[in-house]
Amino acid sequence: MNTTETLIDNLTEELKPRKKLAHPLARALPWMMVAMAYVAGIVNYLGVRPDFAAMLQDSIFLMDTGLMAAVSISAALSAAWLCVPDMRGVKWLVAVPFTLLATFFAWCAIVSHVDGFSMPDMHWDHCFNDAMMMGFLPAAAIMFLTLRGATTKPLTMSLMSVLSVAGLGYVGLRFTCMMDTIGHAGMYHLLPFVVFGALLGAAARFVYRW
Amino acid sequence: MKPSNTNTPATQAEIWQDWATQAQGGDKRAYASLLKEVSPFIKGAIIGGLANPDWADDIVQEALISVHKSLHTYSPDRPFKPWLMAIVNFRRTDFLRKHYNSRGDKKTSLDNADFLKSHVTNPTHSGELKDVERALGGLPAKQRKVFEMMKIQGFSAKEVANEMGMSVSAVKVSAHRTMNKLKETLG
Repeated sequence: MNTTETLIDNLTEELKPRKKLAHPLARALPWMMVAMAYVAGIVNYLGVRPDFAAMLQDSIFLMDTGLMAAVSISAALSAAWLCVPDMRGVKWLVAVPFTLLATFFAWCAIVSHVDGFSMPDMHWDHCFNDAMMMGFLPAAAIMFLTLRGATTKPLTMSLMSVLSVAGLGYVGLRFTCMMDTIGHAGMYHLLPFVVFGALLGAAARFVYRW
Repeated sequence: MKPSNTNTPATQAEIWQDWATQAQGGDKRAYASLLKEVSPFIKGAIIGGLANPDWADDIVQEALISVHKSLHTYSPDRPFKPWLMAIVNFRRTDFLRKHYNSRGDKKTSLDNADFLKSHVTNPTHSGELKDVERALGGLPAKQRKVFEMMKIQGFSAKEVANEMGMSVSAVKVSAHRTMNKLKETLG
């Protein structure tokens, strides 16, 4: 008997009934609800920006928060589908958050060209703390969600996880912080998530090893 | 899954789909049949693209272990082959990356006279303890520990599996591969 046959015998011997992984949509929706409720709670705790009602009439504000919310939702869905080795045949799904993110950056480039970039001085800003607070539970929850799957694309999975958290955190920060310049948003609202993404990306093969 | 009210024979894909579904429910016979049928299929699918056909068995075994670990992610309403091939391609890429990262393609056999002259302390005694230790030293730490515990210290596969947090099958495969690697290295 060769090694493969022995292995098959051992694997067969070890087989136990398995609880099937729920449909990706059924796994992503609870994450979205929990993460959105959590971020809403943090926004409420930190205090909604005083000009929030006026900002709801501002097309730039609506466009960038809308885009990042869409990035977050589509990335969370992609992460849930990536838990299945063949993504249930919808590999194109990962293109959606990437396209939305590219649109967001193009939008930022246009806005900074018109209104200026306003690069802030680098210092420890309260937005860093707020970003970490907003990202903590959604990040922990998405890690819990994704680690129960079996992804064949660990790097894409880590990117999707980070984008889903970053998008939501960005929206939350836009609801609390009154600084609307692209420089501030890039430096203080996105940088904490970029760092989280870099760390998770570097460790992706280890984190999503199975 | 094959509709029961038709008399047309089930295709191979439908049979595999059925077996995989039954295996998820704990049916060992269906599972054994599935693994036995997919093994040659996997080997046939990957062997043409490998620089060394001997690697195919290693990749097949890795893929089977991965199928075992991820069986809960298979959905009976989906075809089985795309799910299987996603795992196979992932494991093949993983195997090749590890192989080339460890400079496996640069390693030489001790039958190579030039290598013996320049690298081996005593070419006429290749295979002695020092050479074995050196060969073991070149292995990844986890693989070396499994081999040492099982083949040198005499622990059983189950004991090693408990200690290392691995499955018994993975321990046996790891020890077997290490033995093959040592044979290959020491000639």
